[in-house]
Amino acid sequence: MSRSIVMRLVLKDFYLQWPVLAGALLLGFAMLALALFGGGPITFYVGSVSFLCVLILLNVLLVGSIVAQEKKDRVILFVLSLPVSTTQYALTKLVSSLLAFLIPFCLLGAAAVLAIALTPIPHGLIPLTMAVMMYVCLYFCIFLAVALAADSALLNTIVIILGNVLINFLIAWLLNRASVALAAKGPVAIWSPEILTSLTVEILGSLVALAAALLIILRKKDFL
Amino acid sequence: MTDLAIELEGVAKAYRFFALKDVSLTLPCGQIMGLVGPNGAGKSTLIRILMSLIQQDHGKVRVLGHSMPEEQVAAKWQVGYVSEDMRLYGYGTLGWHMRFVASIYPSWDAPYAQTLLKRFNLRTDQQIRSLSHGERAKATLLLMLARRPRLLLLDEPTTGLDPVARHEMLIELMDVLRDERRAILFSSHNTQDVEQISDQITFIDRGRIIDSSDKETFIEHWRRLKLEVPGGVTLPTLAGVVDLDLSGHIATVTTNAHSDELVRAYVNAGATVHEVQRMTLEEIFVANVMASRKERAS
Repeated sequence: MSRSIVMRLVLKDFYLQWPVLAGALLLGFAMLALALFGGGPITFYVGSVSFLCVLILLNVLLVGSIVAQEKKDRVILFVLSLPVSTTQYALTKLVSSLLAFLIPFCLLGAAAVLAIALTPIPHGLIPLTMAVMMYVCLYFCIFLAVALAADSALLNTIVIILGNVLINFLIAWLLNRASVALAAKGPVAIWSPEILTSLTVEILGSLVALAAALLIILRKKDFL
Repeated sequence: MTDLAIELEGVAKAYRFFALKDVSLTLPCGQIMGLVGPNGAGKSTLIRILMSLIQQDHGKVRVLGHSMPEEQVAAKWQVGYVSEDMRLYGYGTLGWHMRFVASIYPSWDAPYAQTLLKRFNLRTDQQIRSLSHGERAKATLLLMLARRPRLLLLDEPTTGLDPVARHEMLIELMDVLRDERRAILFSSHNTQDVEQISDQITFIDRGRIIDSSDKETFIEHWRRLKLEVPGGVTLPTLAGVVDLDLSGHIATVTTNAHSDELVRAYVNAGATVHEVQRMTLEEIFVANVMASRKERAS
């Protein structure tokens, strides 16, 4: 019985977030089209930067409204009045945020990789695109973990600022590696050690952040 | 099956600047208990422990026979909880909320929900964010009552409501008690509301239960005596006197154990009793809190 309520709570989060999900998908595909089919370097730059912004915005909006806002607005009291334990509630938040982010993230990521692979754009961009996109995934996982673990608007703000600033350092670091910069312009996708290192760090970092969130949820006694 | 809706035994919860200390309390089924205390007394902390929203550091908590927090899910099926700061989803309509709650509770009473909708003058197609504070409070109460819970935990539900909305809410709560298996724990700092609907009253201050009894006992045992004390007369120290205020030759005595013997003892000591006043619940509450603080300070 309780498991079906957890499912209902996840579906409820999806129902409440559908405008954000639909908006992110619509804007993401539009920015991708602008970048890849705009016909010039400026449209490519504007399109790809906006595409990244859409992913980051999706991250911030989802965690903000599914986890942080629900606590801040005291809607959490209504949900916790239902027959769910506080641990089940937190797990619900983890699952629904993760799914709500990963579905559009994977769709947009797959579309970006496919679009590069199927158009005359240099295929060497694929590894760089994936490394930058995985950074957004890491950023999401850390933000989600912090929002679930701590009830602090200040901490959330610090994570958002750091997340938005550090992406510039990552892109600058990758493009300063000759192997990455040259390969990005090439016709074949080359998985250089720098790209593989950043992908490994991002994937492991995401998993560690989620595991930490899970651990904190299971140990947490008070949710208010 | 248990006859007690709530059992608290030696419950403690410590925060940096506040602590709930050694709280022991029982509420039998079919009773309404008013939990009265000033702001920051620990009313919300106590109710949140009962709902397992926070966990006690020490002590035993049982709700409808279920040990908390271990069996919180089983208990919550039969508990309705509303607090003054509880909010609903602003962009959802009341109708959406009703369907959502109804999809969870097999006990959802749809005809009763419709009755409450009419009684509270609410509309299902209205978004929650467009409702006034009073309408939101009534919507929350509707969502809770239509589940037909056996125990209602209400944390200052009437705070900020206009007199009409407050009256409607209290009437509805009294209606709930027609089913004698149900119980209500109702916290408030408004003694009028508590006096209106409660069978039992518990006073809480600074994290401690300072007194708990049925309403009639409070009303019958508490009195304020106005005495004239001639020069040279010393008033005796009597059990049950919680406050003695002497101003010139006039003394005001507040007692929680009024009896003819008490009056006689003052008369025998040489004082003249001018007046024996009944006290309102608010006066009893204030006197009780002040006496408890004085006792702890000394």
